[in-house]
Amino acid sequence: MKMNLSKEWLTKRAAPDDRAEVSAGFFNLGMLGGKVGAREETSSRLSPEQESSRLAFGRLINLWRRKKGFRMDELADKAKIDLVELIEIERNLDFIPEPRTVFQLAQVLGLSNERLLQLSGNTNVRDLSLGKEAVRFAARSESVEKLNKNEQRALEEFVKFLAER
Amino acid sequence: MIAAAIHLSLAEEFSGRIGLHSLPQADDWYSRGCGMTALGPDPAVQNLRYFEMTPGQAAEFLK
Repeated sequence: MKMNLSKEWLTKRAAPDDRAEVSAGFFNLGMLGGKVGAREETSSRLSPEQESSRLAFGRLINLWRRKKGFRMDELADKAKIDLVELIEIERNLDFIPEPRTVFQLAQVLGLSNERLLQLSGNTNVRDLSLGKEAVRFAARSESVEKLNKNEQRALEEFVKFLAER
Repeated sequence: MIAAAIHLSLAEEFSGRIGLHSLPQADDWYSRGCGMTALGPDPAVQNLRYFEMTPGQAAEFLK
């Protein structure tokens, strides 16, 4: 199949796409978690299995990033994703990242996109062994260490800032 | 992607006809942006709206 699309045509077509919200790429509708178009309400729609997986997903990204010594903004740059979204992934259990974001992270981590889509709550849990392993990982990865100096300083500064308001 | 789908349709001798189920947030883009015809929600596919592009609409899209 040959496509002869001129630069002018591509430019003309790209212009209206600029602000359009187009979401393609759900390769299998049967795997969609929750109801379509209700992403903002996903917190109440996650099954217990999805919640465990989502927790493990956030922990995975957090621990991998720290192991590599990346700051959040550095990983966001590397994966070409929005920093706010990365923060949400690591901190907010109710947040379901866009499939594109998961794909970008899978590329950087060198892991299976399909498994990360499941972990991130984008697709229903089909691989039960992955679900069980995700729960185990989430439990084992819970830190029991005291805060290090950086964490302590960051916490103190933020508390001080909050106290001033 | 739409252009690629049309070209594949042409290559398979379907005259550029394509059809798809749209996610709700993309409905407007397929109807206005691509000029496709909305044929209503499809209960068989989670009530997603089904769109089709005729050979004429495909030719217009590629102009």
